[in-house]
Amino acid sequence: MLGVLILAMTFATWSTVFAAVMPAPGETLTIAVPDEPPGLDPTTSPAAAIARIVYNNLLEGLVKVDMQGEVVRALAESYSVSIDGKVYSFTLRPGVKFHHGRALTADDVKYTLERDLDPKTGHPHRDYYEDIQQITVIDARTFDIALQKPNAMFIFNLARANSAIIAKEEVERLKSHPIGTGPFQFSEWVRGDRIVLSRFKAYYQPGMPSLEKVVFRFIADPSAQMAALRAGDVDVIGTAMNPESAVELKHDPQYRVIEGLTTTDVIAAMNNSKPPFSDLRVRKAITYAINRDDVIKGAVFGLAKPIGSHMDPLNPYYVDLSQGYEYAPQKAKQLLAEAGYPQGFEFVLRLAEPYLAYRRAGEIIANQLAKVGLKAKIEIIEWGQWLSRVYRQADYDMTVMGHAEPFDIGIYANPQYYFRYDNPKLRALLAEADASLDDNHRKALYEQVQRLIADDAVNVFLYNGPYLVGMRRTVHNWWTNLPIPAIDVTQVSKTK
Amino acid sequence: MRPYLLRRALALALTLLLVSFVTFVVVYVIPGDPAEIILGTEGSPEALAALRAKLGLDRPLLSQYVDWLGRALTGDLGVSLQYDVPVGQLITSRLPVTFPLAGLAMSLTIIAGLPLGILAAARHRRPSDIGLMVLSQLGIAIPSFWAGLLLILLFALHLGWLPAGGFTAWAETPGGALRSLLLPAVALGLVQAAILTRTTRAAMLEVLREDYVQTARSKGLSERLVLYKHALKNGLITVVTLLGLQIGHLLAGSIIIENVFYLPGLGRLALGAIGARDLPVVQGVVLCVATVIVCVNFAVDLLYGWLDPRIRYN
Amino acid sequence: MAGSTPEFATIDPAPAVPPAAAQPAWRLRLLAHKHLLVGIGLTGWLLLTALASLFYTPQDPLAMSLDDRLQGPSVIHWFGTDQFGRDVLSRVMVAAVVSMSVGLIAVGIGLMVGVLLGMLSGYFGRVLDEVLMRLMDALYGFPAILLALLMTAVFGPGMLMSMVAIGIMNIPVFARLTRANFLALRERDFVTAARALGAGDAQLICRHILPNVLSPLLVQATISFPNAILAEAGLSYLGLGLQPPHPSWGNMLKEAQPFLRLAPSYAIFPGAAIACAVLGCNLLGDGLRDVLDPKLSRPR
Repeated sequence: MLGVLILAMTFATWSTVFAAVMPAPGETLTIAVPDEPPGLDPTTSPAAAIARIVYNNLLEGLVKVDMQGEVVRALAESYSVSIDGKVYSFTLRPGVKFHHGRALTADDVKYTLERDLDPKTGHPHRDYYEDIQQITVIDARTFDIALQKPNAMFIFNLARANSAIIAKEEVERLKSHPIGTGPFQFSEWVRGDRIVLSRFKAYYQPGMPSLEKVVFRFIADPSAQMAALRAGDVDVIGTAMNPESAVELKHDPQYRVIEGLTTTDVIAAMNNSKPPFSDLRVRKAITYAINRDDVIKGAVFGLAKPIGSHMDPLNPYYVDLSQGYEYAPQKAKQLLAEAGYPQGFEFVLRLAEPYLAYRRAGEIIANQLAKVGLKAKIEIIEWGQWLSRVYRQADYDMTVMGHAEPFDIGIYANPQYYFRYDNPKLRALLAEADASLDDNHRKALYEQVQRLIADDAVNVFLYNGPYLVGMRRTVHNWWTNLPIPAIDVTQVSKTK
Repeated sequence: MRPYLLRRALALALTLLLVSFVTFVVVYVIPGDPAEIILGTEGSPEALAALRAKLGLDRPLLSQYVDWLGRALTGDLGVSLQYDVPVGQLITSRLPVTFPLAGLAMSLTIIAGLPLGILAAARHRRPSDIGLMVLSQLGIAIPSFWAGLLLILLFALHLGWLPAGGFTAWAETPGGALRSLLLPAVALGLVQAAILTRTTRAAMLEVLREDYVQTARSKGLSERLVLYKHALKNGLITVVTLLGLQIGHLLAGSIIIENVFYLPGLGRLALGAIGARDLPVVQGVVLCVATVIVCVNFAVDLLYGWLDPRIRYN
Repeated sequence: MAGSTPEFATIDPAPAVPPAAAQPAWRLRLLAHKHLLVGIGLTGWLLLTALASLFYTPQDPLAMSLDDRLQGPSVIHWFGTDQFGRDVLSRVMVAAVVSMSVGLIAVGIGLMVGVLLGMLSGYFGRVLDEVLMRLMDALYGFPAILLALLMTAVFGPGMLMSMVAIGIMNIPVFARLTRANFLALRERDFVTAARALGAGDAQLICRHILPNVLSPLLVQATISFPNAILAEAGLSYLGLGLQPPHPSWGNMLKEAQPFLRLAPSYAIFPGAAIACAVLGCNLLGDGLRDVLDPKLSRPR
């Protein structure tokens, strides 16, 4: 009798423990994100907000970046490179289906890449694919990509969100109802409120994903995010959590806070083509006049690492140049006088409205620059305006923005990029690095590039955007660093 | 009555026409090329020109206006530039937030304002009247968004009874949706309630002065009977017309309140659309809202004229 | 718009027949002027603070001190500090100037343009009158905030735009008021008499009609002014008014919102300032109305 009782109790205890610990099937995860994407097509817009929702969840590429920052195979079952580095041969995984039922074929890859290359599409980074000379489809699952010259960044570029493979017949709906091959499919978008993804039952990897539904809720206000988390309306504050909130949550045993690094380089960008910013002495003066520590304190509550050039510490080629320019207002004034501005000058500082941290950084910078005679007029403009006027037309003097894409130092080789920085020496270095397949050689070259950009004070390099995520303890397997802008929930599970 | 109605209807049509024209023109003066914003960062000059032609942006202003008006009258307000969704659909998707918010705020206003106003009038110049007058003076002075912040501070952050922002869809849990709307409705309705209290009190006092009330009193009718039967009925005329006018204030106030509480309603749609230079949406929302307000004002005018015959033959 | 009252000046009537328990006369007189007294007191104090802030504030309202961020009220910072360590009290004081000036200028614009339009409408009548009044209706029907939003989208945000936008919002009220009074006064005996004595139109308007419209205009101005303050605060809260780093009560509330948990006092003081300003102006307006319109000035 006693034995039966003990047995029953043991069974009951273990099943409860089991149920509590095992990921519950059919769970819905609600994630708070601050900004609503302007569409869901990563191939026509550079907005990181899009990638956060679709990357690896909805849309997949041939390869992908995983939690450790490694490039691993995704849709490609295998690939190899020819000896001269100019031909990549891919074999696609079998049994991959698009969300609308059709099987993935090599023709889809060819269509996707050719569309990305087509100027009429408006891909934000055609340069990723510029070296592609020809795509040859061999059969339904195999194809070759021939390059004009070896490109060391090619595979990495294929792993980015804007290289996702899409279906030709669903191109029109990409912006509002994307069809991809990911473990989640698009379910609903209530504009201004939420996007809902649901499990794609025909995903090629059985058992994945663990969650039944994922809801991204747009909550811009940090207080509201915290209140929603505490009330149980959301399970995770997925990105850009208010640093003050992070500090508060850390002391609460019901929640877990992840503090890590991202690939976001937060910079105060200057229009290098516009006087007086075209003068190196002026740019150096501005860099000396800015107290980075104060900016970090005011913008992100001290929770970020300073940087000295346009690369993040997660990058294997990163070199720490953050101590290059110390805070020296006297030096700044001297340099300004040398450049012909002993009384300083006035300029316009345009800041994008949705990004609180960058706005705060901007205000602090304006305050610091005023002390050396540089009077900033702050203009807070909407995101669409920022994209149009600052990013596209370079109609600005100075701005503050975070560049979330990993390994994007290549933008300094583009004289039309909104910094309008034109340095042939830099272009030569980067071209050499791209062509080289020797890792040590590349590392040395990238170090030179970082130093060159820092010495030329192209922009003021502020800090690495902190990765702060707050969640309930019932959520598991969240990324601990952010090697690529994404909220990859394919491996995330939730217990009761 | 007929010629009066006809004249008023013509006046309404003219007003609406002017509203639509002003909406259309003002939006077009806004700097920022919508074609550029749609195509984003990589639009080539040819692509931009093609898109502008497709959107009809290169035709003369007047012909664009006529086209737009014609389509609007049939309910086609164009397609949103940011979301790629018909404007009408966007607007109707926001109505489940803005309408209930306005309705809830209006109900709270009436529930609070009317009885308090009547009470104040009945207890004229006694402590409760003075107290209510002081409170209502404070109520008028408090900005609605500050009231919202204070309510969030107390009920959401401190006590945790209600959400601090955001909106739970009706489809998910009706209770959740109501909870998300409660604090915003209180913030929005508070000021209007204070105004309503004062106006009701004033209207009631005005009526209580009237001769026929004195007559009723002198006939020996109880104060309460006098109050309810005679004063209330007639005092309500002013009140009802005030309520009609308040719809305009509610719609306008909801723009700010939706911002305070991050509610995905018409107000935030309009704000976001202006920022993104989403012209069709801006035009659509402004036209709809302004039309509603003008029509309501018109209806209130008519109602007032019908209820109070002294005004009619102006 | 929050706080606006129905079309024209609302008058609180008083009963002609005192209720059964009559109050002693002196107490009634005090009650009558209570509004005015409190109104003058509050508004005067705010005006003084605003003026004083032009010369002196406890700290530099723009000076950042990032180690002292988001503190509550203390001996050094009576109202605490904001997210950059700036003194909230000094900023609230400086913001008073903004509110007052925007209010004054906006009402001024509304008054001048409105009176002009109302006069033209009343004088010329017929088609001009009809069209102008429909335009006023259309303007009146426009949610004021939306009008301001559109204007700031066209011309950019800033204090000047707030003034203009709120000014335009006020035009219909003054126009209608002027027109109504004009039409009414036109028929009055003293005008007919003056005309019979040979006075020209211009003379009639300027010397006889206008002075009599002044009183209701002033009364309306005392209602529109606090509404303008609220409107400016609302626009600033949406980020459309004065731009950072310059403080206005509305944009301080906007900046305080993310920190409601951490530093609740930051959100309380600017809002309280708005409420005090509006309350004071409302009471002042009520009191002025009592003085200017003796018919209505009865013990309340």
